[in-house]
Amino acid sequence: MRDLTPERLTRLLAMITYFADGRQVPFAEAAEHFGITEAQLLDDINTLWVSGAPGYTHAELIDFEADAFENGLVSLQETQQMDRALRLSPGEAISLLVAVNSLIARLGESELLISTKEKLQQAAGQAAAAAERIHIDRTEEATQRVREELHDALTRGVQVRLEYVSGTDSRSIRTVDPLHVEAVGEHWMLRAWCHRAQGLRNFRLDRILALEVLATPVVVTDPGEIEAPDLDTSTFPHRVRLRLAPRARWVVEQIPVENVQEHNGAFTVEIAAGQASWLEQLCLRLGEAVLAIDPPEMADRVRTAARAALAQYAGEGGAGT
Amino acid sequence: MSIPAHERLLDLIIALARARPSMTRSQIRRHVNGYAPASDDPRAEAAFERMFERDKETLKDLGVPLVTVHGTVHHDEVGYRIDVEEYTLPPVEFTSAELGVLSVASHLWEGSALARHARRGLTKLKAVTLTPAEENLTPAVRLHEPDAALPVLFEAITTRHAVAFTYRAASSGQETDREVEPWGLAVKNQGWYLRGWDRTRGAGREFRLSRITSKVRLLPETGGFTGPDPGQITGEADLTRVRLAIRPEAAALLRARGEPAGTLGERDLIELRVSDLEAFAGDIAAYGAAVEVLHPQHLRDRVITKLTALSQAPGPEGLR
Repeated sequence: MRDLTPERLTRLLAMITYFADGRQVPFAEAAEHFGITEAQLLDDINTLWVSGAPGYTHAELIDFEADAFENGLVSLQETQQMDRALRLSPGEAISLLVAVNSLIARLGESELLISTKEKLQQAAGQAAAAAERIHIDRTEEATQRVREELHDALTRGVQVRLEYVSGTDSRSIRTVDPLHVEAVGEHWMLRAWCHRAQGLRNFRLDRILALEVLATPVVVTDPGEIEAPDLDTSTFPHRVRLRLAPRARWVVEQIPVENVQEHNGAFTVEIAAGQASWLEQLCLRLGEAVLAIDPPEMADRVRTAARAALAQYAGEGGAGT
Repeated sequence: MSIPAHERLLDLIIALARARPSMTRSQIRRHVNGYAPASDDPRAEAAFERMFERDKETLKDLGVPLVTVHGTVHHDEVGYRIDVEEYTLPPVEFTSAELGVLSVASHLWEGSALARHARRGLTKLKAVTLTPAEENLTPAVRLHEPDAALPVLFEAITTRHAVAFTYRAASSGQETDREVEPWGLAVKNQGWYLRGWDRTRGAGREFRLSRITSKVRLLPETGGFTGPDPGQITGEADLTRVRLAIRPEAAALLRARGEPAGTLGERDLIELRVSDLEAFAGDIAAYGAAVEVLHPQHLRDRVITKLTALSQAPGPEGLR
């Protein structure tokens, strides 16, 4: 079980500072501020109430006003000199600063983001300089333009026509009702109602080859009315079991896989997909790291595709051309 | 009944913050709530030592500046106190909207060890912000799958410690042990990169974190960095010009990223610049018969190796 002691201790210390001025704060408000339940809040207050300096007589303990407490209010009377706020540790300062920097890199330098960053740097002290050594690249210009056009379409509530190329290299032209643009990792994703597929679809902005903002108003506006795309891999019709060399470990990290079994460094995984071609391309990408393929039909399919591709290279070397 | 760890640690902080000039271990045991009194049982003594060491670690991790005082009163025993000046957060106050930004930011690390650090940092800043957080950032941003090595690398960069790890070269797939003086981190090409001075190679290098195949270890020495300061790092501008022959209608994405360079029979020639040739060899192999590498020869060879192996890939019999 994970040890939550550091989180709990941090919160107890933060509460002393937060309540230090002795004002009366309703239980619900205090619990919401710290993102905990009222039961947790009361547990924390009771812990603070019995804590203090050596001796631990009434004069040495943290104390709350009992009458206010009876009426559902927190009112701190004695802080035992612990009203000062604890500084950020280097790890805390850096994880927050890098996160704010990456928001700035994705969303641009708004006044709000910059003022948050400046105050955070002030709070962080020395760690602020270290956080600047961690670079978050800005969104590429190409995606930026698509993003601006989508933003325009979203604001005006109109449809867009996309020329899109999928992960399996199939190209399509679709009319969609854009719902939401989101940065996921370093990719920008568009979530939209696709009129061709008659369903919700996600599109990677860097795979949009061309985009046209139409004058037609959107039909679907509330994503809440529509079920999310089914990402339940158990319904996928194609399934393969692969034995992979150690260097193919990224597969486990980057693709939803099941039943990973270790074999002296090599490993076996099961992967499900909506399209057999996607599994074939994954095998081709992995190359000699694929040590075995089950079922035999998929093994056949991959061997055939590899031979067809290899035929291109059978002639004279291409380096000179 | 035993006192829970968070309560013992709170009492320890309160005691050490007012200790004048300091408290020794035996004083802490005697006076601070939650520690078992000294005894003749060596196992109980060992248990106390372990608990106290762990408590010191926790305080350090939280940013509590614990100061060790040598031989002031008791010459044989080390004393401890908290540096109250150092303890205190610089004066700062966030608005509701700024606290909202911090709350969104702290969620970016969800799913990694950094999430706990970010949440704790947020809790500390909530202590000095009396108004509730107001979240109104659009569009939504998520930082996808932070790398497991990030926390230790953050620490190495801040404390200027060298790190050691096993790295799989992108070009050859060979694994080698590296010692690196870290300069910084970057996100690009769909992944995290470490930039630093490679002591093993005697050169500035970039390392893709997903190609680190071992745990990243912090090297204990603090003698400082031996390499030069970050100047030009090889690798970043290390783009290879690649020439491809693409079947009609195929590989729209490669076409969009490259420049047309004529035709070869019915196929189109496309040129583009590539930074990570090993990953690109995988991209090309995945296109199968739709794309052929013409140049450079070593990329061509790499694709041929992948395809040759697969043309004889074992079926289910290889799983036994």
